Amino acid sequence: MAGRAVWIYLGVLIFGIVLAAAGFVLTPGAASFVFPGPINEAGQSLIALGLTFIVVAVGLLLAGLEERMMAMMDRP
Amino acid sequence: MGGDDESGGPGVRYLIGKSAATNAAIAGFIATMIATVSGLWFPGVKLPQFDFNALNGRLAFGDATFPLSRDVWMIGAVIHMIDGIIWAVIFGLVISPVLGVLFKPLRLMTPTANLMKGIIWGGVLWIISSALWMPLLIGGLLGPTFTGGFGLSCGVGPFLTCFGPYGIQALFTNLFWHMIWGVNLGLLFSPMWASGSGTR
Repeated sequence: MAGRAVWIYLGVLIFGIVLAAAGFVLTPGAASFVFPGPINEAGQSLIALGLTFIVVAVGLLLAGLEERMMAMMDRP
Repeated sequence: MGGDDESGGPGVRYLIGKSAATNAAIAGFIATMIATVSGLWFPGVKLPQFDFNALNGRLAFGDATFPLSRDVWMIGAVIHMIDGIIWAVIFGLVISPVLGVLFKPLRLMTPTANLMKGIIWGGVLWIISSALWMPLLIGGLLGPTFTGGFGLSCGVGPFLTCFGPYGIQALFTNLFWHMIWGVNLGLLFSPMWASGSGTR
């Protein structure tokens, strides 16, 4: 996995964490399984988008590590 | 179908099983299970719960009553799982090879390229879900109950711009759900050249 790619993936991960944290602060009340639970349009949108970036970044990091591992296994 | 590789030629190995169909079906099962359970856990991070099992059960039986019976939920879960596996097999046999033909960087059979294809397919299904499935089918079924019975201002808005008491966060939560599915599918449906180089 190229060094630059790792930094891009880490950037996406940190961006997602920042978005999710901001959304968590904006959304009032505690997490709740009682319907409808806390409602805040901007806050929950940020949480969802932030977690989306986190999931994609973790996936890219895992795929990159898999490529690196395969390359190491190919070496004699 | 189910040959040695995406194009029917030899020299490709799969992360799971020995054919594209087997790999896609098992990857689809795992991805659907993880995404579905994650959707049920969404309230734990202050998000609206995404219970696709309930929605599929309601659609199958035209059931708009609250609370939903356990039997309808269980049948909805089976329908939803089969749907998820079918979408994954379509991805493995059709979409993944086509994306490789259409976009040169995705021609490589590397874990990253395979993941990108899964993310793209998850995004496409998010659009289908938000633009068609949710507003046209779920909206038609639950919309009158939301606005009439519950007195909410919205049923299911166009492109999921609202869903009962929720606004645009429903659309982004749906994106999150489909990205969980797409990332898991892309990581687990991973055809590679047997040499491991990713190119040929």
